Amino acid sequence: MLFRWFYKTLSSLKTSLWILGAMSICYILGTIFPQGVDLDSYVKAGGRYIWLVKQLNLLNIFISPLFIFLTLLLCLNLLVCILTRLVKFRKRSEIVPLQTASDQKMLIPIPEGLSLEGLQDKLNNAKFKLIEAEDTQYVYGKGLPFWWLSWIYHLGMIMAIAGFFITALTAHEGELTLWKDKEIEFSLYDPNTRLNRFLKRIGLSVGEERKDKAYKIKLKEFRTEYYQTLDFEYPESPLSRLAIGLGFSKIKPSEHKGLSPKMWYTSFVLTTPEGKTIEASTMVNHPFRTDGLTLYQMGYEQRISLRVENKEIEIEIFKPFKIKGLEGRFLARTVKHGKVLKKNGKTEELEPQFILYQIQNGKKKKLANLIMGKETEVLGKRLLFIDFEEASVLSYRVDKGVPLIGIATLLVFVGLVMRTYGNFYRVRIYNIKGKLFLSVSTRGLLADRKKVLKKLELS
Amino acid sequence: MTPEKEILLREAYLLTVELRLYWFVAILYLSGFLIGIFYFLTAKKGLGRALTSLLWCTAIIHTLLIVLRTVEGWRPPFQTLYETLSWFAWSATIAYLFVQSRFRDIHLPGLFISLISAGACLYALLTRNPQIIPIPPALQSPWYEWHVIVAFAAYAVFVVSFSLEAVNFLYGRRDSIRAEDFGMPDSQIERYSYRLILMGFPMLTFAIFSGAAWANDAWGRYWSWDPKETWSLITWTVYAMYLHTKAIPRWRDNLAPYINILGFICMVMTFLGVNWLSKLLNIPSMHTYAV
Repeated sequence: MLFRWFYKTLSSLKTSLWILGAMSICYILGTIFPQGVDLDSYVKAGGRYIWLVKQLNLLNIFISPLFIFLTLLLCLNLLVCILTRLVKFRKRSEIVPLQTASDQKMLIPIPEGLSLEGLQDKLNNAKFKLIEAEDTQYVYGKGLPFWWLSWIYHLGMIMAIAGFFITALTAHEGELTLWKDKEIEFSLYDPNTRLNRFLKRIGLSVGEERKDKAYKIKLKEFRTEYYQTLDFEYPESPLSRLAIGLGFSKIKPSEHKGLSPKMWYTSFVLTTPEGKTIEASTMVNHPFRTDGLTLYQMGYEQRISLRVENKEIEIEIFKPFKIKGLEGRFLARTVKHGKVLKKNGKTEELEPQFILYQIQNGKKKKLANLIMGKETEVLGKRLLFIDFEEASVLSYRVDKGVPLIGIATLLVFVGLVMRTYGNFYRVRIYNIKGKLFLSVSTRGLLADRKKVLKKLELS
Repeated sequence: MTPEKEILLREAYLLTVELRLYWFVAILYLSGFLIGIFYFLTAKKGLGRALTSLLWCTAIIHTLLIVLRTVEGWRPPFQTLYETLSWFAWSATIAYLFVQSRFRDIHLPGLFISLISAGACLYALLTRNPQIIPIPPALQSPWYEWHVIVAFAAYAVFVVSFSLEAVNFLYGRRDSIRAEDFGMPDSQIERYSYRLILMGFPMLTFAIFSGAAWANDAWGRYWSWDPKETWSLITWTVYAMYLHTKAIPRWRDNLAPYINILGFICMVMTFLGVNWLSKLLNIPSMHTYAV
């Protein structure tokens, strides 16, 4: 009794809607509360609703027991739905008895002169196939069966959820900061994946054999390229903007010239655990792939040698630092160097340079653009940008969930597109007391009932 | 004059022309909205036809504006928020006019289309910087064009569906307003509204999948629970709920219209609201290049 209630509830569409609604609320909470932050930092930053945050694990909601429970429930709901429908579809009869008077009202009477054979010929000519027949009813069909397509993309959903779980349990990643002439070693084994931690807890281990199989990587070159940008003086105030729109004023060119990144390239030498040496390169959106390893271009780091008066200091970009004798803190932005594609189509080598800012009372003020080798006076101090070092930051990731998710997304997408945009027809011929009637049912946005009736010369 | 100065002056001139055209388009959309209001209050068919004709004219000028921007930047015109707002307004109007051409005598949804398009254009003109910037490395991907075009096609279809649903709500608010006065029976509105969501849903699905595939290529992670990603999933879930509600007889008429409106709100959140939310709550987003 209880099992039947459980099965009935789980196979119901209403249950799906409640689960989807609850999941949506979790998603929203995940965009309101910062994710991956520890509770102490959250409290220090003035975070509120501490009790609720703690109880519902709102700072890691997408791996919280509540969210996992809802996802599993959705998965179970989908599973029960597709199993129930699988049984239904296999037993499905295409014969639809006319039950009510309104059913009969929907029927199209066949003209007296058109015989059953004649109508069947027309249907055959229109590429309809006889699917089922009984004494008083003939069912003809055309197009892909929409219920199977719908079944397929729901199956795809279950596969996708399974893929997400594999990712959550086994995926791991690492960052490689490649400074010139420094070789680093890394292994694709991570003892701290959720699965490995769980296995360790129960005294098992998986993938330990890969721990000693290390890759070695060495930076060959990290290259940056820029576009030259030309700026305009564009007003902030809405009224001044309207004035431009209405023709009372114009946009004025600015004297400032900017640089916008075009691409970052990294070329490197990789030694596989088998001792094979590969010279390769990677850039943003173009990862490097080799037997189970994928390397992504993530960013870069820079260290600057700066001389203030006669004292040399080392600074890192985007990390505030102090200059003796000056108030506030200072900040160096990216050292820009490499090739610049200019507006006139020419390419030029850029002198290494960076912008120095002063941070005072929480406000950032631009002080100077320091060019390598050129002394500049800033706030009464002589500053010399001596040199810089650059590292390319690559990342690698191992995710066994991806292939399953790839297949799942393909199933979902193809099923959904064919189900939605495709065309599916069922034409039923009824013989009611010696008179012929016809009904046409359609599915899919491209299905055209009128077109079918026209082809059968019944419109 | 240096060649750089020459280029700069030419770009400033083109941008000025573009901005004037853009303001003109925004004013036309606003005029459409005002005509729509009068049409709603008087139910005079001439006003309805005027609204649709005005939207056709605006769509043609807006197309010119999109072409001009493409030529200026020599790249697809949907990189910055300034550009995507224009693209959004344009695609919603084009989608509406395409749907409208199928039911000819129905003009009232144009009221909402012109309001939404005017809002998007004015938001871009008053708050965003129109400067053309080159494509940053993060966007240099074969997925970029397809992801954005299909996502905005889905948005456009959802906007049209919302405008039909909103018209339905208007009919329900006052007894004196009858759907027939505006040339459309209630059931037709519901049907078209549903078919539009049905049409947009696979597009939104493709947009999410292509975004995930792109993220997998760029960062090695197909899903990061970034606010933009999460809100797109919320929108998808809400529209999935709408489609399922349509299959439940008792909820079909009572609940589905509200879920459609909710879906539209979620779509606006995905497109714009998530930027405000991230800024307001200081939550980092990997989609900041789109702002």
